[in-house]
Amino acid sequence: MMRREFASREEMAAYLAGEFGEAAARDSHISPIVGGRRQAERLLEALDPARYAQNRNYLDGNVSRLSPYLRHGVVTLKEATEKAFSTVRDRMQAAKFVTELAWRDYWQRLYASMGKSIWEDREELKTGLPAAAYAKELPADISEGRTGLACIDAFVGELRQTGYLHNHARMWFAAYVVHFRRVRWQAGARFFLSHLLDGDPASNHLSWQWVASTFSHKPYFHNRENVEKYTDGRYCAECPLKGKCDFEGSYEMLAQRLFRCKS
Amino acid sequence: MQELIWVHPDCLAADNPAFQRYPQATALFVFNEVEIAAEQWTLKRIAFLYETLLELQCGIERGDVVEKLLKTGASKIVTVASVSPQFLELVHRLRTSVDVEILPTVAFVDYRGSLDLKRFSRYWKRVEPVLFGQ
Repeated sequence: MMRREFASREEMAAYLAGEFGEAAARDSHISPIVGGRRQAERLLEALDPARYAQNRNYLDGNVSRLSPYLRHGVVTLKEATEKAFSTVRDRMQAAKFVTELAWRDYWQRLYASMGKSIWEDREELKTGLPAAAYAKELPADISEGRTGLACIDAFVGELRQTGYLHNHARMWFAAYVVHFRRVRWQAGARFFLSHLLDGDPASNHLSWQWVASTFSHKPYFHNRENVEKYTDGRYCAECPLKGKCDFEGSYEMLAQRLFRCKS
Repeated sequence: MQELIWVHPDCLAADNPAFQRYPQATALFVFNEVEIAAEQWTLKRIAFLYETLLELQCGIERGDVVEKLLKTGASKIVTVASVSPQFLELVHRLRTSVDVEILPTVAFVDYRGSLDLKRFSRYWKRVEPVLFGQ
């Protein structure tokens, strides 16, 4: 049996690094996000679905941060739904939050029908490009957070250190990997699965497929203005590539550059 | 030994259906080294699970899940359902040696009909009225 008693979190981390040497060699960070039901209950108590509806797309918005606990069944979707409903006068005030919970249920149902084929393209790409146009491996400058793009590199640093990223950051990162760098979504999904505390092939892979367009009508992508708006400019202000980064331009210009079809 | 509750990464709640049904049974979690290697888990993922497990009344092991569960000598393994193909494979292996009872998870929504999963919008069209009482 493995140990259950530790004098501190640091002692537990050192013990686990010894027991799981290969995982520690890949990345030995311990997240500031604490596991367990007690922490999940704190987050449930802080749930504010009405404000979530207003500002969830901003990196500083009132997101729940419940995903690692939902993924591992520490909190059920039903419990989170009932908690959300209990905090509002009209259920519709919690609609945005509950819809996001429903996405998780939807992904699970799909995973049940797909099994291991979740690693394969569910549909053809809608980018106008052949699958062979996309690299199989994630370039090292991306996985090591040294692309030079302040936002992307910061996302990688946060992912490695905490095992968590805001959903909008996940979407920008995925769009960057798949569309701006033309890398297969599977390479990015594998990278996320390695680090995310809520890593789960259902939500993770199908979200990557949604961005890639193998599970949506069109590819998802963004421009710099969008990143600047929802991050309150925190990355662009200090980015050495500001004014000349990959994300500069209108959506129409970027679509013309990135794809071979109208999107 | 009688029933053993198999705690796996999709059911880490102290009140999960297996703990509720068999409150006196011992429980075991096994870190699946094959899965950790295949999915290239980093240490923080393991630590998050470990901290969660320390709040549960269950033993913790690492290695081959089936071997560790069978080694307990339990006459029946009780666990909670998961859609993970790895979980289904482990259940299949277990069932060649021991009785396995799989309890259903707590459903998100009480919808009995069939659901079209082609797109989220089709699923939501059926589920939304149930959730919001429309």
